[in-house]
Amino acid sequence: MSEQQQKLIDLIADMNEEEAIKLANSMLDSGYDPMKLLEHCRAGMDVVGKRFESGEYFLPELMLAGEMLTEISKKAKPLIQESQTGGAASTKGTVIIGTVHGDLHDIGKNIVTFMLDINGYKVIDLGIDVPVDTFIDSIKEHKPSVVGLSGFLTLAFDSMKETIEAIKAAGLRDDIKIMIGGGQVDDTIRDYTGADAFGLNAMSAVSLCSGWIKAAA
Amino acid sequence: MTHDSTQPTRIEFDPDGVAIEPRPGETLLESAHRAKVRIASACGGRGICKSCIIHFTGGETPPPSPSDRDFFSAVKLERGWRRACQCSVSGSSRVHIPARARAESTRMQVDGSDFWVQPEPIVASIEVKLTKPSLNYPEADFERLVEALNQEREPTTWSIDPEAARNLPEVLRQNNWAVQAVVRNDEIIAVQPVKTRLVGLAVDLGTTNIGLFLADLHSGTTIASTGIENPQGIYGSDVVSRVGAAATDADKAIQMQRLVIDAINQRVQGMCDAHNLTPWQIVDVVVAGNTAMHHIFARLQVRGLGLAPFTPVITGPLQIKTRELGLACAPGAQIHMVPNIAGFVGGDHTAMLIGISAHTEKRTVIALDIGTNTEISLLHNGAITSLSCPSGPALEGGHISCGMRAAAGAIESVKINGEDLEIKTIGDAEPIGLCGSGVLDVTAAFFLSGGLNPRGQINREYRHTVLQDDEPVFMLHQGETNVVFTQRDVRSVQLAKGSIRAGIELLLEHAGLHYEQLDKVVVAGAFGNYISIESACTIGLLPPLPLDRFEQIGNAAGTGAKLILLSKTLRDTATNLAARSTHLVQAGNPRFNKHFMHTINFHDIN
Repeated sequence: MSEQQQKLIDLIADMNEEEAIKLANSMLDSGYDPMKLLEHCRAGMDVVGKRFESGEYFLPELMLAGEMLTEISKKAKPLIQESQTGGAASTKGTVIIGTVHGDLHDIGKNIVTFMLDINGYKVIDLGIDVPVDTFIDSIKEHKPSVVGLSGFLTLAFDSMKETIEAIKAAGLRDDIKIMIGGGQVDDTIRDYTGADAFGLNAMSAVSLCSGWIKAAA
Repeated sequence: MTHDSTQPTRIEFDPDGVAIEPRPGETLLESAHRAKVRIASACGGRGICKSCIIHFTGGETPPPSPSDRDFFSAVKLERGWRRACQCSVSGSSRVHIPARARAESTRMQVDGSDFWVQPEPIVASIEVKLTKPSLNYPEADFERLVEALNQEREPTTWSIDPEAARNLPEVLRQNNWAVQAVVRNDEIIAVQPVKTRLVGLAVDLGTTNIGLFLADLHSGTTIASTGIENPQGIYGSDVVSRVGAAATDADKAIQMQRLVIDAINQRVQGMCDAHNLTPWQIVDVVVAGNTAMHHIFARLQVRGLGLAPFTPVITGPLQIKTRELGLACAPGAQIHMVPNIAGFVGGDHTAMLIGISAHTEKRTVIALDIGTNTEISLLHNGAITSLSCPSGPALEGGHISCGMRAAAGAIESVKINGEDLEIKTIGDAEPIGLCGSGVLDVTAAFFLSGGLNPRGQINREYRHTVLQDDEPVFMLHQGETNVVFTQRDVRSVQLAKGSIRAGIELLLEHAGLHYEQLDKVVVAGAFGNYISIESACTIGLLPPLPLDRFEQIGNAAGTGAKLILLSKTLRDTATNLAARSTHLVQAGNPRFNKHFMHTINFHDIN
C-alpha cells in the first residue's frame, strides 16, 4: 500500500475531515482509480467502526465520518460511472430504508444508510415518518433485496408490524428480507413485527445484509 | 414428581423477611411487587436495564434466561445473581435484594421557594341558618338551603352536587340546621358544620415523584406537604415506556391510574390525620403533571402521545369531579387539571412558569426542569417558547451501572483533590451507588482531571481507571459493594446532557440569541436543586455563564400548582400562559440533530 493510500485511510479514521477530503480530491484529480479510492474510504470507515465498538468513538464521530464519506463519494461515483462504459456502477444489492410512520428518529437510520452505502449497497433512504404505502411503492419500483425499518418509540413497533403486514398483503414479502432496528429491539420485538432479523447498531445492519445477499447469490 | 401440599412454594425476600407464594408465570419482580417489597425497575421490567439485580441465596435458583446469560458473567450466574424481571420461581426460594435495588429516594423535596399570594379560592363557604321543617313549612331540605343562601348572597339559580345532596339531610339535622355551604360558582359542592376549615390539595404529578400540598384556602398557608414515589415506576421510569405500556394494554392504563390514586389517597389520609383534618374537608384539587401523567390520571387515551405527531387529547384546562377518578375528597369537589402546552410539554411546565412568575418576567430567561424528559422555556420580549427533549433517566441515576435513587449511601458529590477522590454520600454512609448529582459530578471531575477526553472516551492511563472484564472503568469505591463508572455510563450522560443542551441551543437559535445574552438561567425541579451548577457547566449541560446568572429554585412546578390552587386569578393566568406559549418541535428537527452532534461532546461550543 502506498504512503498516500495509508494517509487517506488514517485521515478518515482520525476524523480529519478537511484534510481527508482535500487528499481524496487531489488523488481523483490526478487520475486515481475512483473504485480503489472508495475501497480506501471503506477501510478508513472500518477503523471508525472498530473504534466506535471499542468506545473510543461515539455518535458524533459516526455522523461526521458519514458526512465526510458522502462528500468524497459525491465526486468519486460519477467518475466510476464514466469509466464503466455505458453501465451504472455495480452494487452488491439494493436496500430500502426508512423510519416507520409515527416516528421521527433519524440519527441511527442515517448512520445505517451511509454504512450500507460505503459498503457497496445501493441505498434508497425514504426518510422519517414513512407511510406504509411509500414503502410498498418503493419496493415495487426498486425491487430491493433488503428492507430496513427503523423506529425508536415503543409504539413504532406497531407501525413496523403494520408495514410488514402490508408488504405481505401486497405479495412482496417473499422476495425480500426485512430487518428492524433503532433503540430497544430484541428477538421478541422481531417476532412481534414479523421481521426476519433485528440489529442493534449500524455494523450489524451491514453484516445482516451481506449475509443475506451472499446467501442469495 | 410429587407435590407436597402441606409445603406451599414461597419466596422469601431478605432483608425485609416478607414472604409470598408465587403465581405461575409471574416474574420475580411481579411477585415482589405483589408482596409490596421494593425492587427498583427503571425500565419497567423489560430486561433492558440492570436496576432489578437480585441474589438467590437459598432454595431453588431458577435457570438464567437467555438475556441474563448474556448479561451476567458465568461466575455471577453460578452464584445466583439474576435480574428480577428475567426470572420466575416455581419452587421455594430465598432472595436477597441488594441495597441499591431497595433504595427509596430521600430527595422527595416538594417545596419550592414559597411566596405568599393573596388567597382567592375558587370555592367559597357561606354560613347559613335554616328553619326546621314543619307541617306549616314542609319544603324540601335543598329548597330551604337555597332560600337561606339567597338571603346571604345575591339570589341565583343554585344546583347541588348529587353526592352532597345524599349527605344533606344528615348534615342539616346533626348540626341543628346551622351549616356552611361550600359553593363553586352556582353549585353547592358540600354542606358542612360551620367553621369547618376549607382545605385544598395541590398535586405535582411527576413521572418519578409526586408532590402533595394541603393548603388552607382562606389563609393561604401550607398545612402539610410531602413527596411520594410515583408507583407507576414498575411500568418504566420514563414517559415513553409508560405511554407505551398504557397505550398497548388497556388494563395497564387502568392499573397505572389506580396506583397513583391509591397512593395519593393513602398519603393524604396520613397528612389529614396528622393535622386533625379529614379528606372530606378537601374542597378543591389542582393537578399539574406532564401531558402523559395528565392523560393517564384523567383516564384519557395516551396513544396519540406515543407516536408522531404526538397529539394530546386536550391541552386546555379540564375539570373532573374527584369521585369520578376515585380521589377521596368533599362530595362535589372538582379537580382542575392544569392546561398542557403540547404533547411533551405539560401542565407541570405551565405550573413551573407560574412558579417563576413568567407572566411578569421582563428579562431574557431560560427556565428548565430536568427529568427523564426535560422541558425548557425561553422567555424573551414577553414571548414564551417551549420545547421538550428526551433526556432519559441517566441524570437521575437511572440506567447507570451503579446508579441508584438519592438514598443513604448514594454518592452525591465527587471532587478531585490532587491525587485523591473526595466522595460525599447521602447520610455519610458507606458508598453503595451513585445518584443523579453524583453522576454529574463524577463526569465533570474526571473530565477536568484528564480521565475523559473531549469525546467522552475513558483514558486507560488515568489514575482512577481500572480494567473490569478488559474494559476501562472508573473505580469510585472499593468495599462490600464496588462503585464504578463505566464507559457506557459516560455515554448515557453524554446523550442526556447533549439532548438538553441542544434543546437550549435550538430555542436560542430560534429567537436569534446567543447564550451570552441570557440574563438568567432558572434550574427548577427537585433534581436541579441538588446538582452542582459548576459541574453542569463543565460538562456542557448548561451554557458556560457566570455562576451568578443561574438560579436553582427547587420544585417550581409544585409552587406553581399551589399558587394555581390558591388564586383564581393565577389559575386564569396559567391557562393564558399555556395557550400563548409557542411550542417548538424538537423531534425530527434537523437543526436539533445538528446541535446534538456538537453538544454530545465535552467540547465547549460557541
